[in-house]
Amino acid sequence: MTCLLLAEMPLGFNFIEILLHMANIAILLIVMRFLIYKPVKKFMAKRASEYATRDAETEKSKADAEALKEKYESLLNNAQSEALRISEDATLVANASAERIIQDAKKKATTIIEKTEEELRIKATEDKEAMAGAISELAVAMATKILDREFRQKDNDAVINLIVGEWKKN
Amino acid sequence: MYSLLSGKFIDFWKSQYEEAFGGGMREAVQEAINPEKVNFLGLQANPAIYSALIASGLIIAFAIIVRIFVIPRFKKNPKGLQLILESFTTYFDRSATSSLEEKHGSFVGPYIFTMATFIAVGTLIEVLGFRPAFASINSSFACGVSTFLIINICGFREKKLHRIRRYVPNVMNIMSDLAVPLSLSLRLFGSIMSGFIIIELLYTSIFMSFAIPAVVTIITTFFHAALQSYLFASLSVIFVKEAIE
Repeated sequence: MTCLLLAEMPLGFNFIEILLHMANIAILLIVMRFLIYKPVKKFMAKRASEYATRDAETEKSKADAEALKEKYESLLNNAQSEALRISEDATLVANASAERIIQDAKKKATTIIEKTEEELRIKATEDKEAMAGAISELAVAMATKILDREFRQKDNDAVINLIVGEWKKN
Repeated sequence: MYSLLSGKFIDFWKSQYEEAFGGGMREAVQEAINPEKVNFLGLQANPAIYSALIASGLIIAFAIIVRIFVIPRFKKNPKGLQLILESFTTYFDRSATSSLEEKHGSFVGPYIFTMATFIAVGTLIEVLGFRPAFASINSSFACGVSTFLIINICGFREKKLHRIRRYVPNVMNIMSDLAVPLSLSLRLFGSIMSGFIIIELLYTSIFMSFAIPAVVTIITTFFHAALQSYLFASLSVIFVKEAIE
């Protein structure tokens, strides 16, 4: 074995040198693995994990936001339907109320008109009767003046009633 | 008279250059393939062992600095050195875990990351004036054997003793398994050594030793560093995948 290790070989082949180089490679492997390769890989894995967590959180937030959006859209749709229904109900109630008010007003107006017409009619009758009295007195006064003598009430009433009767007919 | 003087001037500088950088092409190639041994802890070793140790020292120093000063200041939006580190780590991790299971990928990922870095730095160290760390059959073979060990560790972890059964009906599987470290190491050695020899040959001529090596280095050193790192890492993953399937 010693002869093999120390023998002169082609191209300077030397087992001890090979072993030394292999030891050198082993040391390099340990150094590179623990000083560069693993720390860099660990850093990248940690960063990737952080990004994955952030992505998951973003996805979750997005899903939550979508759910909220759907919920609020549903609420909005319900509110719109409710508002429409309330509006329709209110319109119906208002229309009914307006109709009732109009009918009442018409009834009142009719009553007022009838009452006013009745009053006017009574007033006209009263006015005519008052006027007939005034005219008879006026006619007596006129006749007295013209004839310059005193007629009896009985004569007067006969004449006056004739004249007033004709007047009423007209 | 003028041509005589200029000829003597060139001859003088040529002799000075040869004295400083060695003789002709044959000597350059000889020196590249079989360099003068150096003393390393009492062992007569290839000078590439020092290059490998310097490259390892640079990598370890860089790793310590990065671990202490850079990684604790990592930000969520990577840029600069953080981006480079994350890109390389992710690339090698995905290469390993996409082809292999997580059980093996977490083990093979750091290995191919380390080997790719080591091969790249060990080759690029040539631009600092050192011999490339993999212009030595020993360092290249050490890489091949290391991958061979990783392949078998993963194979035994996955299949336990069933992995040995594949040798019983077909003995050729032993040859094909043994060819893996040879293939990996000789490919790496041949590629890096060829680039090194080309640069050495350029320096044998005084007329080609200016500017041209700077251009050729891009191909023979930078390109080889990137390509061999990538190839070694990819082939290691493929061989491990074969072993666990």
